[in-house]
Amino acid sequence: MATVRLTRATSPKRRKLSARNEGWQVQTTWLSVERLTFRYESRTVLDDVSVDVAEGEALAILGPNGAGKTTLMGNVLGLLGPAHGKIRIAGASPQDAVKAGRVAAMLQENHLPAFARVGEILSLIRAVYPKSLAIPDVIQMAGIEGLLNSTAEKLSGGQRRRVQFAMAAVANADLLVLDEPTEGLDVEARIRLWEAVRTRFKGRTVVFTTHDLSEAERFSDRVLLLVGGKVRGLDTPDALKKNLARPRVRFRVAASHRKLMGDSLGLPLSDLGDGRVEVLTDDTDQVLFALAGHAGLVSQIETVNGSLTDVFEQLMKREEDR
Amino acid sequence: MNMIFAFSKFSLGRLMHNARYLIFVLGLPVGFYELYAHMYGTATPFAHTSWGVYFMMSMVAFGAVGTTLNVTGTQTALDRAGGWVRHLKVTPVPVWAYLAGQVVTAMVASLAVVMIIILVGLLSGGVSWRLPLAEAALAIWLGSLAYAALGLALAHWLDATLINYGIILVYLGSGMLGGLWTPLKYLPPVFTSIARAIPSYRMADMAWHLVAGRTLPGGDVAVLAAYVAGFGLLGGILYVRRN
Repeated sequence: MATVRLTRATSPKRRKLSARNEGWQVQTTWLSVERLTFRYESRTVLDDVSVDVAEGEALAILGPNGAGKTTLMGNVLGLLGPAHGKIRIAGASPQDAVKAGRVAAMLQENHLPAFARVGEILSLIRAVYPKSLAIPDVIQMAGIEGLLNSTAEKLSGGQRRRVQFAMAAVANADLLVLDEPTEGLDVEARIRLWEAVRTRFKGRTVVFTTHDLSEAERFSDRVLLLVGGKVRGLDTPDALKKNLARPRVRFRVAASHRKLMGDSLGLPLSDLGDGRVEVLTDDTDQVLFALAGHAGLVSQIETVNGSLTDVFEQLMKREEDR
Repeated sequence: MNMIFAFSKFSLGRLMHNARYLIFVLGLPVGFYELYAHMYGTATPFAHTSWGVYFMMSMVAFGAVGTTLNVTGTQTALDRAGGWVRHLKVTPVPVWAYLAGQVVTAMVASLAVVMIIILVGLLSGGVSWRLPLAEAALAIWLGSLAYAALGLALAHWLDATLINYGIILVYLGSGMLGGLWTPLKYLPPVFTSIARAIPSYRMADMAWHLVAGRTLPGGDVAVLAAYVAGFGLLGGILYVRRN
């Protein structure tokens, strides 16, 4: 049985749902990772990782290379066994959930069998999942029109990736685990893939890794930041940006006055081109106050919240300082 | 059963798309047959039958060995290296269904090769359809299950860079040491002792007896059954160790 928890609504989707319930809602935890530690030989790859993913939630796992993202995916899929900790998918072990056809995955490596036609691969996958979709339903979704009769070894890298997504999609499972799904895809294919995840698999639980922070920001309800095998952040993209990224103040100033402004603010100015500069600050009010003192020299002042990229950079800097 | 059927159908499809490999698997036995059977005269009496029939059965066994080894050995090793086997572990497909599908595919391909070589023998003269060819072919075909199991064991022992060398070594070694290329009576006695321990010899020996009008040797059946069980067990152990 999946566990049920009460949680504060955070994402827009959840806020809408919870408005009737004074900010609280009942959620079904679909995936539960509890104090997971994984070691490879003597190296700790994942260290005390915990995360609950609700039914219908999309969780993005972000982190630099070697952070343990794929290892976490491997544990969630039952390919790897944790040294400590527990993983449950809808109350079952990962292996049992996979066996029951409740999980579909797109692994990082290209795993298509040689000499098999795309149509045959999809037919096979379709035959082994209990609630699979019809093949025509996934052709357009994955952008594999015209590839059904091609054998795997004749496909380009991007085409292979699209077929791999079609394999995960045709399974129509409750939990979709996507390890760097857009790696090697062109822009159009990326858009198509996320569009499918967002619309066709709406309401399904999705866990994905990516190096594209804008994808994480746009398509996840929450982001898990993993650095050196440890959880360094777990929240909605907005909350992470608010809490971890430094805001910026942007304004226009003549080149001849830049040094004066920099000295006055006590902060380095970054050139944005076209006469505009920005400063990173922990205290926007103080910067705005200082700029107000030079009202004749500056114009077009605006404050900008930090991006997920800023969050990431901030975390990496903190990690280096440790 | 449905999973095995689905996988067998899938694997057979893959095999058909890579039919070029059949040229290599068929090329050696058919080429050897055409060369050596006619060189010494197909009608020449030999081992209670004719040289043509005797050598055709040797080459049928040789072809069945090559086919089963290639399908279960090479293809499974490449599937492992390419990540297909790993991917199957994140689907509801049990790995045993995949492996069983590989064996079924190997056996279907082996049957096709057995029939093609017999057809070549019948068409090129020196072999009569009145002989118990079906019984002999069936004996060889069932005996090739030992090599299907050995192929799986090799696939889990050797990685993709070594599997081809391993398969070729076992394939040619089974042909030469199993007395399939040269009748054992023309070789030093030590080769007879070696051959008796090799499944390829036992496969061909059953067929040689049947086409000569003699009964099926129970010893051959027992040895081959032991090889199937032994290689199957070895494959299972290697699979568990690999995973």
